[in-house]
Amino acid sequence: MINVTNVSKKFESESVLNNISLHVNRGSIYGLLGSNGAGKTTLLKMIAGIFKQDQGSVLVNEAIVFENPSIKEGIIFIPDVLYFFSQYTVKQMASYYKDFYPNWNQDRFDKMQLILNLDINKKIQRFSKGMQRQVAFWLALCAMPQLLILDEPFDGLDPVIRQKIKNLIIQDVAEREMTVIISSHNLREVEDICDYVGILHQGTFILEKDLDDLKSDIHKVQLAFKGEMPAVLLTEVELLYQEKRGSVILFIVRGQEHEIDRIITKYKPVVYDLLPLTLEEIFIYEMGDAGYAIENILV
Amino acid sequence: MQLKTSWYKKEVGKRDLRQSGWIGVLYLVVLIFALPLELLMRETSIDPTNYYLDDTNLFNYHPEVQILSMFIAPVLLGVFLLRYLQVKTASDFIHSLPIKRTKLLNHHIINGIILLLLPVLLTAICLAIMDGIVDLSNYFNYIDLGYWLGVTIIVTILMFITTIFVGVITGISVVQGVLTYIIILFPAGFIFLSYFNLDFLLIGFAEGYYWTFQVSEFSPITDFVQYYEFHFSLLKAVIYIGITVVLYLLSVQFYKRRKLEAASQALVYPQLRPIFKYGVTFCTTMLGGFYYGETQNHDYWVLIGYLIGSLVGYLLAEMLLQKTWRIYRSWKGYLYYTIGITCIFLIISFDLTGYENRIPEINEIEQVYVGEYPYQYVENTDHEVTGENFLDTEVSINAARALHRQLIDMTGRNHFNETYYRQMYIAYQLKNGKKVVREYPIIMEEKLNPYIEPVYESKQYKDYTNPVLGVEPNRVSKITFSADPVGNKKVAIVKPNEIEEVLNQIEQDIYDKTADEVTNPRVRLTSIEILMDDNDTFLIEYETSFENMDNWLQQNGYYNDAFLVSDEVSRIGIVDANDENGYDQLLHESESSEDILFITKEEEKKQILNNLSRVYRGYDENNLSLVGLYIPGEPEPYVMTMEKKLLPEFVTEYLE
Repeated sequence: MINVTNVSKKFESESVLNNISLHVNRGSIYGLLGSNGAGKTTLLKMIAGIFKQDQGSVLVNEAIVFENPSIKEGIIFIPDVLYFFSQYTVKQMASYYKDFYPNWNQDRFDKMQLILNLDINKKIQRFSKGMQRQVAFWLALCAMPQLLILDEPFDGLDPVIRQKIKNLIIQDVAEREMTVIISSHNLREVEDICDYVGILHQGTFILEKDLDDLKSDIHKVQLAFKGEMPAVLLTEVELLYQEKRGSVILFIVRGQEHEIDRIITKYKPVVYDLLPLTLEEIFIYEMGDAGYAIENILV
Repeated sequence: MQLKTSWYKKEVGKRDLRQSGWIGVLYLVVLIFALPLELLMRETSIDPTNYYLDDTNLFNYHPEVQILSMFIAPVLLGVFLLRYLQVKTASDFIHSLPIKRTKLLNHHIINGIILLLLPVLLTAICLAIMDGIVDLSNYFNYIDLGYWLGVTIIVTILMFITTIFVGVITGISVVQGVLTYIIILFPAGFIFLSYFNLDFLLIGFAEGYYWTFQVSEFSPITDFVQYYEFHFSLLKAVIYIGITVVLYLLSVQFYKRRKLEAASQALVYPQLRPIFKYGVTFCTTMLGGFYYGETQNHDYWVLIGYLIGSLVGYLLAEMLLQKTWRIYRSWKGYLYYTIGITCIFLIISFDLTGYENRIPEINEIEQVYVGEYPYQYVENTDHEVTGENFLDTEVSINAARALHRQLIDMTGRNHFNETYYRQMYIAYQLKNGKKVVREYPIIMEEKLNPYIEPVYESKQYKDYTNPVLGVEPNRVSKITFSADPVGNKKVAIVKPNEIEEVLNQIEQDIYDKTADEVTNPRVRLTSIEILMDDNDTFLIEYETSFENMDNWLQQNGYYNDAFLVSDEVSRIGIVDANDENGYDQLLHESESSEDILFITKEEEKKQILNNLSRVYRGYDENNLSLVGLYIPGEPEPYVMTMEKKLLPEFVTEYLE
């Protein structure tokens, strides 16, 4: 769905993105993570066809996005700071969208009004911040995009609205294979809906992973042995981290669950727990491996 | 649905209307107030004759209002319509929509033009309907209406497209507005400032000659401000439309390449920033030089003006571009600028191109104009005033070159201010078709006189400075001598043979004038009007040097009718002209004092009247006397100035 290849972007002389490549499959939800100023918004705006890259190519559905209305008809970009025309009501804004997005679904618009329970004749700028966010998603989803680009969509929202919006997104992804790309500076905010994440730092990707792979690929193991731990064990597993708390040894290891199971049980530990890691922990250990101070990036 | 296939996005139109429609409405209200309402008011007024204007030009009604709205409405509209480009969030939203930039811009331009055209068209329709109901032919006809409509539309759309163009290259709405006016004024302003500064830097630069080309026409704003002499020719229309089209095409190209992330930057294209910065600095440098040059009239003040102007301009441009007051780290650019501009000014004023000392060789020259009036030169080159419009004999050309040499030697850099000196123009037309035109102040007349004389006393000079010399006697229907400025004492010559004789006398008298009489003509009270068969007239003042004319008038018995004689004047009052309150006032006040000398004796009056002459210029008040002629039947005396040295001794003795 999205193919970003070797893209660089400078704002005047300041380099924002440096030789970035990114691939997102149809129907997946991609989490774009990174600290403030990492270049997330710039990358998203290039995918949305707003900015033009200095180098490389940005393709959506195998076509260049920039200045390509037929592709952009299927893309909706919701920025971190929402923009609505001043004095416009939801209804007026909806007819503006309708004029631009040929797949506009009026039925859905009417139905969603019942769920969201917002007055369509009220000026949008009079709504609270959370309501405005809902309006943005309402309008966006009724345009029936194939690609939804969200820049910090959950920033400053209360958990109820956050969940409401997440549900709306997941529903569309499941029902009609919508592709979603979400940026966030907070991993915990997106880990429950993303199936793919990339971490952007100072203009380059430092990590890109399928979350399912990640989660099944890395494990926390707690072990205790009668006497000393057999040293040979360390050579058999791919160890990322180890720690000793009294007699309990803590390992972070990479590998398939049953494989690790098989190796460790061979040495008959007295205590043996194989635990999943939170995404955050995974990143910290993964990146720690590569020598990055990832904690700072993930808040 | 039909809308899906239509090119026009009506929602963009709706949005533009909601956001900027008020400008169109306001414009309509202003126009309705300025034209249809105004005309209706005049028509229904009790005394409508008072209100007719000679000229049926619709711009004459509330011209200030019309001009202001014509230059404000389109700029305001352009700023509002492109507001979405200058606000980051708006820019991101609009450009995420599935529409090409060109198409989007075209939408806004079309909407804007509609918003500008509707008020103008509605006003015109309103006028046309009103004309159908109440006859308004005293105010305008359909040609006037068409002219008004055409000019208004062309100018507003030029202003609008210029605003759009500027909007596309800037990222701040205020800058967009201000820069639009700067760009519109730039051509005229730049030429104006260049003339002044070149005049200062280059001795001999013919500023006055270049002013004869209407500089104000280089900008629609300055052009319209002089609306009383404003004429919108077809050529201007073509140029305006051409510029509009070019600016439109440029707008599209610049918009396509615009980097949206640069919204809220003063200039979106970084390449334009140095041009802007140094352009502004250069213009303010010239402005500073102009201001202090005009007000202080000293060369070091011009240099101070350059320094102040450049510094102010540079700081302003830097502040605008960096959007901060704190710009103390950018002094390097100013340093480079100062070095650069100093070099340029030095190159110009050291005259490396040989401009100042250029006197064409005799064999290069076809003909020369020497004189004090650039308009005269321009007219002489434009059409045949007399048989000969230039000096073209070897003797006279050499005289002009010698004068030129002397003028170059006498003129210093301090003598640039036009208002302090009379100017002498020397314009060579070369054999290769080129022109060399120079202008010098006349600083020390006495030293210059030996050089001026051979030119001013030459027949050719007299030919082209006196249009009357070209008059053909058989085309003259009447020559009138008006003897005095207040009464109706006149002599009319109508007989063809007498007309020819009068013209011959005038011709001879003019050819006989000395250089001093040319530069300082002493004029008698009588004036001569030559009426041509096509009702054209030549007006000549009777100079004291017209001896042949005097004789002819005496011989033919017209003399006493052509001049004021002593018995027609009850008394003559003479007083020193040394007051600034105005001469009429001075004379009035002195009537009861000892300062004034009243002359009542016939013989003395005659003596004064025969010597009576006016001087025009360059006279020190200390050398002048005020002469009041008390003519019976006139409530106030006729007051004139006269050189003291021409007064009879008994008068000067009394006054001392």
